[in-house]
Amino acid sequence: MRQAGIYSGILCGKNGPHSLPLSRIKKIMKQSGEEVKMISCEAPLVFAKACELFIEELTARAYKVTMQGKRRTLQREDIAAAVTATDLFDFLLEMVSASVINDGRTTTEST
Amino acid sequence: MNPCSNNNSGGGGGGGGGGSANNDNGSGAGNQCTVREQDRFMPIANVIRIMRKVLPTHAKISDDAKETIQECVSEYISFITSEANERCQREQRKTITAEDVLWAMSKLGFDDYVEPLSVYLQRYREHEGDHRGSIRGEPIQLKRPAAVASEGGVDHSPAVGVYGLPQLQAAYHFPATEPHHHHHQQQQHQHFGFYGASATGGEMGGYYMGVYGDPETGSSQELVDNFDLYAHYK
Repeated sequence: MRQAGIYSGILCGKNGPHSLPLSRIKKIMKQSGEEVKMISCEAPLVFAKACELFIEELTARAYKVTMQGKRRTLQREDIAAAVTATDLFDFLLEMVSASVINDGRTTTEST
Repeated sequence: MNPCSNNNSGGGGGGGGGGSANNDNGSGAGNQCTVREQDRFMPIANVIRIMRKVLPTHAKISDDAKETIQECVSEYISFITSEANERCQREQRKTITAEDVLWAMSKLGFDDYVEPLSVYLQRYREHEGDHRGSIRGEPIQLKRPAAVASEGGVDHSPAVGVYGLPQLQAAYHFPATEPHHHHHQQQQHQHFGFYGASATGGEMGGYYMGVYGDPETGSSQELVDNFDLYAHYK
């Protein structure tokens, strides 16, 4: 299982077993630029929490769109609509609009 | 400055993959050798679990929505990290710290996250014990973006957002008549006066109720009930 290490206290204790994996966060951080050299061990920790807040906010905003359409299934378009409507999420605009066409992961789009 | 940076990178791959044990799309043995879509995203099960926390129980999530959120999270991390990294380069530092991350979030508009994250980080440092406390347990000091450097919370970032505990408490002695941009901020001022356990579910629930608006009070209530992110502070 997960290695005990500098994170173990917070992973096993305060953070609970359901937190986002810090090593994955760190990898994604490193992938965000060649110049990213070193990362303090606290930075992924902050991101783990921040990503939870981010997912919750984005999901909540998207589901609001779902409800407005009197549906119960959160769809990709709901997320796109939420992103479009929220200035804070402008950095996602390109992705939610482009990935239906460009990204092989999401080839099917159900409406 | 950062005694712990990078010393986990070697074991990161095995640790992360094994620990989460719920990688996307039933990724099998074939994925082990390439670097690799799986490493670009958070484990889908974790993402879904977090999504479910804010959704009513009867809500469903389509697969493409799950993947989209997954992608958005990675984009978010990259977005914030790039900004934090730029700051490090400007200041000729090599290591991205938690403060850099918080600073970047504040600068990029995620002011509302900074406060709970600062609390979280502060708690983490307290739990880290005395040996680390003596080295770096000082309050979170964070230079705010130059554009919003004025005191008093009249700018778009929370007045107290990125300060450590002592400053936080002092800062929250502002009178409640001060102008606010965020509707929930005033509430936070009142709550944070005593800071401790009250810096938890209640006001974040209020925040997310704000996100929802009130098209359906039932689900908003459910939202608050489900919002146990900070339960461990209690």
